[in-house]
Amino acid sequence: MESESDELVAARVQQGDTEAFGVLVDRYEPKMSRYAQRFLSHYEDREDAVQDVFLRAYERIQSYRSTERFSPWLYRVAHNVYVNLIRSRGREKVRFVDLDTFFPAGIPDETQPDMPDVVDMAPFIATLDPKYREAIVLFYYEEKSYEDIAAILQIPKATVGVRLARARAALKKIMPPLI
Amino acid sequence: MKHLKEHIMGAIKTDQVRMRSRLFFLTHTALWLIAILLSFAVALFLLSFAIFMLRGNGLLAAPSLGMHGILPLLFSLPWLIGLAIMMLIATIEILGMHFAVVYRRPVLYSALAVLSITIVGASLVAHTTLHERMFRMGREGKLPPLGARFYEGALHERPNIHVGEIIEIGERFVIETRTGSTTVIIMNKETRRPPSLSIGDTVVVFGELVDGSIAAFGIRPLNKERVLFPKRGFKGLPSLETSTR
Repeated sequence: MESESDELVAARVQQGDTEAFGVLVDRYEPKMSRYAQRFLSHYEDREDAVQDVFLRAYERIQSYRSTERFSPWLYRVAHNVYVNLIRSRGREKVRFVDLDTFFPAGIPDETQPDMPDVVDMAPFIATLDPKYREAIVLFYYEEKSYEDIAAILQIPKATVGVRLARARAALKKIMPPLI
Repeated sequence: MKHLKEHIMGAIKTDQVRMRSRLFFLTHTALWLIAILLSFAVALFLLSFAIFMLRGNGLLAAPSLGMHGILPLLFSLPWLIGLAIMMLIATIEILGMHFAVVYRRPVLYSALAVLSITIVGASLVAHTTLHERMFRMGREGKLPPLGARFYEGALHERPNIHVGEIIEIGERFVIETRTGSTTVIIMNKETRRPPSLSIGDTVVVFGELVDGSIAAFGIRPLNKERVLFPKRGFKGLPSLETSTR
């Protein structure tokens, strides 16, 4: 089972092989933790949130279609859990529908300008608005494509480009000597 | 890492968390689609009703009189219905965001698509006699009270807009209104009217009613069959007065 693709392992779980879910936990726990660490850096209960991601994924695994890639599906589950945590704490605002998804934007150029080392960026990312912070985390830390980020956040691909551009502009203001 | 995995697998094995069935998700999606279709159907109904109401009261002829006609039209538009339609389109949009075909595109595109489909669909519905039949059913007491009241609202008389049938033309210009009263129309050089009008034509007269006469600034002929004229009946439907006798 260790050499099987995520999609095959997920299909096993759907068929009732509970142990197979452990394989998915082993494979994705570091990624989900890293995603939470960057996106929820100033939330103490982020470890619980990571656990919730997997519990919710198990609960909803029958909604996963094995013809699609497993990774964006799990990231989508994580996005929902993390955003719910932010909303429940009430310290930051996360809107259900954002204005940047309303109007068409140009086709995004996926070759992003150079950014400082992700380690240098880390302390500043926490100050960004959640929607910009998450775009930065998914693109620079999780190395997701625009297509995947659009699927995870359920927004148009062009909006991903808009959010990343705005996030970089905001970072430039905060850390001018580095960019 | 082991600690987290143990917790998760422990919760699964002790049934603290249970896998939801595929049927649950299929039902969820089906309910979502039904909600979208219902919202769309209501929007379609309301917009076609608004067209029926505007047409039935001669208001669709108003823009042909320029600014003079547009102002009474604006005051007579069913704004509440318009607001309800906008809210339904927003609901469709929000519900639709669960589907990739909607969220992959800017909201503006999908909202415009929904609006266009609603306008085209409502125009097609308004072309049928659905609302005329419902209106009659309301008048005949065959609709629930709320439905009857809703349709009765379609006949609401608007200030400065008078629908009637020409009963005298020549030295005097007289119409019989929907309420059965006769009203003299006063015209002057600036009154905009079609060149040929004859007795029996149904018209909408725009102008202020003063002492039983209308000082008309515009007269427009109407399609007899689509005007709300309960006394006479509507397209393909007999007079209400004769049918209820």
